[in-house]
Amino acid sequence: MQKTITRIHDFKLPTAILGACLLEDHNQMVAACMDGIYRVDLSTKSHQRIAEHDSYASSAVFLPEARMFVTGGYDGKLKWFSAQDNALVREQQVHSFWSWDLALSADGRWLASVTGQYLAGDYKYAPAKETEPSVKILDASDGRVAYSLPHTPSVQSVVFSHDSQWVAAGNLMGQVRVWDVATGAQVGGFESKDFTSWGIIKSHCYLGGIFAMEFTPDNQELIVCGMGDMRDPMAGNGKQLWQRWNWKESKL
Amino acid sequence: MKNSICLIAVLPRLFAIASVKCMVVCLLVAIASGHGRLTAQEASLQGIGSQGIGSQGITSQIDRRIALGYSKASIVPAEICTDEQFVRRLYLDIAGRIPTLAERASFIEDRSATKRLDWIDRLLVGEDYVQNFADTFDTLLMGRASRGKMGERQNHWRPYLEDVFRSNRPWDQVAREILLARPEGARQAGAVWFLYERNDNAQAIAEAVAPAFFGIRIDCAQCHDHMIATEIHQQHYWGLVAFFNRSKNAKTNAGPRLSESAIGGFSEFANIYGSSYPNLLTFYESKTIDETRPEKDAKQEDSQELYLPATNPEDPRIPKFSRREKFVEEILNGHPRFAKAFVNRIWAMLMGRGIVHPYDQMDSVHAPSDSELLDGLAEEFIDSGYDIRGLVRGILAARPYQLGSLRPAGAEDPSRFAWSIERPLTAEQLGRSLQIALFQSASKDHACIADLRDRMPEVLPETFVTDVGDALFLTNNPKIQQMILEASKQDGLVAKLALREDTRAAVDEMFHAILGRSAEQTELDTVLEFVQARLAKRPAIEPISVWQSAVWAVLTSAEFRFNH
Amino acid sequence: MVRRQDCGSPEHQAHRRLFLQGSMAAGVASVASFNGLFSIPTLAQETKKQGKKCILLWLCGAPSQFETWDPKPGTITGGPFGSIATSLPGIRISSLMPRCATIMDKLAVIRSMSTEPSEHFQGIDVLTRGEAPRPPFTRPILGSVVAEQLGQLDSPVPQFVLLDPCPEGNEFKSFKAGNWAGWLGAEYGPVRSGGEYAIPDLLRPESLAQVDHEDREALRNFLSRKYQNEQRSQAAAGYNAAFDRVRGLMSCAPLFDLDTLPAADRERYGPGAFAQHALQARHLIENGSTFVMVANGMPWDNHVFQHEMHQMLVPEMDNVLFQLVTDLEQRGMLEDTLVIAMGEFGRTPWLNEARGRDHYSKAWSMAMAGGGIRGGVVVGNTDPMGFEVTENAIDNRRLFATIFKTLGIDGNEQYDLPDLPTFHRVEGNVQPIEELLIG
Repeated sequence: MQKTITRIHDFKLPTAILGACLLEDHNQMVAACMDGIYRVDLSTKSHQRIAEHDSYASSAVFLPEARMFVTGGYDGKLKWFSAQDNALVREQQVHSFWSWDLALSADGRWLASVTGQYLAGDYKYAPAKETEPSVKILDASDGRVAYSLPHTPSVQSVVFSHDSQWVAAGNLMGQVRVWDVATGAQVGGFESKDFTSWGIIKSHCYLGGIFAMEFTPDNQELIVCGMGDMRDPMAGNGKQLWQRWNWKESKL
Repeated sequence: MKNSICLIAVLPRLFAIASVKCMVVCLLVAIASGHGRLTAQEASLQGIGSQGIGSQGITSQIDRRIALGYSKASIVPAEICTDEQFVRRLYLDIAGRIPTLAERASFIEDRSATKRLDWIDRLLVGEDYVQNFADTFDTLLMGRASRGKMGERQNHWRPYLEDVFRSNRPWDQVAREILLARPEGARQAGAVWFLYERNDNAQAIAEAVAPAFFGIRIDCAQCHDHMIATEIHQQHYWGLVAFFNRSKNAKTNAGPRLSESAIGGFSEFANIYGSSYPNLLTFYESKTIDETRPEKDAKQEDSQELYLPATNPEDPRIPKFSRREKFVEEILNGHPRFAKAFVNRIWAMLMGRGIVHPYDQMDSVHAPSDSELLDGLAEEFIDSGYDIRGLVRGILAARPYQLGSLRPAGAEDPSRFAWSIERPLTAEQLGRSLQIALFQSASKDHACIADLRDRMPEVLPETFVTDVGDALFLTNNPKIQQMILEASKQDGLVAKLALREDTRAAVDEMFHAILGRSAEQTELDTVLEFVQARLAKRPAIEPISVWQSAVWAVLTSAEFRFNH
Repeated sequence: MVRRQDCGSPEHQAHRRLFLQGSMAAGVASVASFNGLFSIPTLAQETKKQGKKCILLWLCGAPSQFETWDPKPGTITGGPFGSIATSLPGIRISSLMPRCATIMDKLAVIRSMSTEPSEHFQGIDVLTRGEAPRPPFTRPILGSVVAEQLGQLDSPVPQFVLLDPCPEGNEFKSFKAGNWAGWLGAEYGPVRSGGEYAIPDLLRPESLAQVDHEDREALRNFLSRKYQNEQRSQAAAGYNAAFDRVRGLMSCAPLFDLDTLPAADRERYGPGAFAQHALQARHLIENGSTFVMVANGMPWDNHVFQHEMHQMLVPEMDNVLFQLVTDLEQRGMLEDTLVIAMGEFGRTPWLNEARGRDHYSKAWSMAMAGGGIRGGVVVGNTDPMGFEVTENAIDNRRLFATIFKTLGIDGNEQYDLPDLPTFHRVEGNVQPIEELLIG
């Protein structure tokens, strides 16, 4: 199958966009930016800063049934807004560090938010163990935390399978864990060493990790992406890297 | 700019002594140009040119320009060095090791008026010259490597480098073979390794090509125009990268090769201020090669029509528009820096520092100490057909190379070359010289050499500092200790000394074997006292251990560590 | 507080005992009896000078002032981290530094550093030597000056130690390969150690008796010095200076063994190489070193993903500085030990496209504590976005004048060395920052 992607809008906001979602008419966009949350009207190319987090806003998802959008931020909070009037409906402190990424299950029931501060864990700067659960699964309708799941910081990306059955989270070290959304049980996982770099030139620590993920349409495999090997992580000179993993076959 | 500052600091002092020394300077300048009374060493120096081809021009330019430099700066240079000093220096620089006792004696006894020249010529056609220059150029062109990588180089790169120096291949031809990387025949096969070892990393290639063939460092210009040497631009960096970014390592039945694509390799580079520019095929102090760039988002189609088959069917096909070839033919060929960079590097190897120092940063910040000399030598080198051996010979035959190593009073600026600059032995030179001193023969694969490479990797360092780790290594490393133990057996130096009845003669022999000279009286007395006091305690102390200690002490003295 | 006079090795204790008995003969007969040439330096010189000491936490690569001492929360380029209140009323620092926030009354922070070079190599030169280079003369690095002025050259404990685990490191690597002690001479250069690259060849070869080991060095020294003197050779002087340290260093081997330090201490400082070496620095200072420079490659150079790296680096530095200062204070050493935490410049107020911050030397921050520096002082200020210094700009000369003054070293003194043009310890006759000085 080949898909052709055509660009229909080209739009610039005042600060960097860390995450975004389209609203139901696909003519409206909510963008999570360094200086807050923007609502963008794509047809008129106008934008309005409607709210902010106490730090960067990092992601946004749209709940079609409730007609709300939810944003995550580096303040560790999730915020629910009415798509109607941008009114803040609910706000919840989910993590004590950043919400790096936020995902919504296809059936609209579950939110997953991931966190974790990279702190030195040993002499060679492997990450320290988590000090709070790195992955939280919440009921999208009321923000109730259904599961708090463990992972090694920093956990930088999260995604649900297309059938809403699984949730996967990837971290700085290229480790992915997959859980059953219904039970919170870990059902798979793998580690790819290709996404993280340990700086032998300038720095003795890690940089990189898995930045984004997507299940394949049959949910059997995960496509993960990030930056490939960097001899000098300070220069960020790795190449874009994509990998496809059968997450069920390998356990982590 | 930096140099001008330093001269301002030095000049008043020089003027102060100028009047006093004026007479002496005139006399010495006269000697340098071939007039005046000659010592035996002077006489030997006058024999220049009897055999060498094409190197006389180099020698006479050096003698003229450097002497002019002395007189301008009112410096009295050091005297010509003694034969003992010369033979050690020459062997270290050319053969990569100290002379054996027999070689040294034979040189000293040589009564020929042109003996220094004769021996220069003799050493330059020897296999030790080949090995020594291959060692040095390996490090200068490729950098030090892990032991695994060294093993790979041994199979590919090393035989090529050795052949270059053995057959005295012209340097322009060598550069072409290395950078075009399309070997014709087995003798050129290893030339591909310069690019091949860099494993498709075009930036690493660019960062190596610039110092290796042009004497400049461009690494700083990756993200912005060079902040200090402002003439080196970011476009030079990315232009040089572009010449190599279509090349890929190819494993063929004939061995490692470099394939090249006829398409791709177009990108924009952004500077730190956010502007971006196309990576045109261009380079520092050269031109921009015309090349059709596709529209920004247009996709290029690769096709067989864009290529020609290689002569050898095993080799990768050749793009009709080859960036590597363009680089070699139109940028490298006749580039104003090419000959100068090589001349300056050889000068630095033989003279302890470049005419531009450091030798691989020939940019606007680092001015040559004598630009006419550098230009003149580069011209001579080009006229000689890039004759490497001729260049080396020309420098060795010149007076500045043959000066004593004691810095004369009043001379402060090393860039005037008024004395022979002391320089540390490279790891390889040290490893071989240790063997010669202890066993009178040396293997280039002795186990100590790999350890010394790890410990003392520098070749032509900008400034030399002994790390306390080096002292610990020479003091406590088991392999160094093991060498001394080996020399305590059979024909080893320690064993021979221990067998001597005459302790005084043994001490003198030790000095000859290790330092290439007789022991002076105070040295003789001190070492004798050291040895005899311990030998008197026999049998509690074994004689062999006394000599082990004495030999270690001489081997690790500064006099052995440096070429002077 | 008990100050140990040696590093605890049995050999060294033996030497000390002999000294106290007023006799050098017994244990070292074969050396001392040898016509005076080979006597070891008299141990009387080992008696401690009551001098000051210094630990330099060298934050190479250049940390961001915005994520440390001069946060600008709420500005568009202030970054994702907030600010927190400190023990100093009205003074806020980055939320990544909760521990230092509690001891701000002991720290002195300069928020108005303003220096020239904005490239690493040149920046490192200026901030470690105090002055831009003037070839061919090489100004000694801060640690060499302090070791020369305050150290005990004859102590077996190295006076200037560089702890750094990284064998590589771009600009810092080439800098490390350079001439640290400059015109003071190699004997004032650092002993380098750190990490897995701990000092090799520290133990005597098994096949060699202790007596032989010392005797042959004495003979080597005689021959090698003779060459050095007759050649007037700088290179040989440096070479011999390196050998001079061998015996002392060997006797101090336990000092360089991280495993000998208490587990609780190691845990408090934190697991990373930088933290462990900071602890080792305290240990070395406590046992007789004068200047210890702790580096960790150059990890602060975050042109890419500034905040993703600083989220780890700053908390580590926060804890290390906190532990060092409180540790030294509890041991009664803070008054005499100056702790400096700085890099070679700061980082841009704006973010680049890779969400990194680039080099910025016009307005940046650094911190000090102890050694006669007044705590609870914040020097200078920057504008609301951190582009410019708005008050009391401090350059490298004034910083060095202050460091020397507080250590009791005359900053205006001229170097009195042969063949050297006029150089002062600090050029330009600048004044130290008075508000930072207690005495």
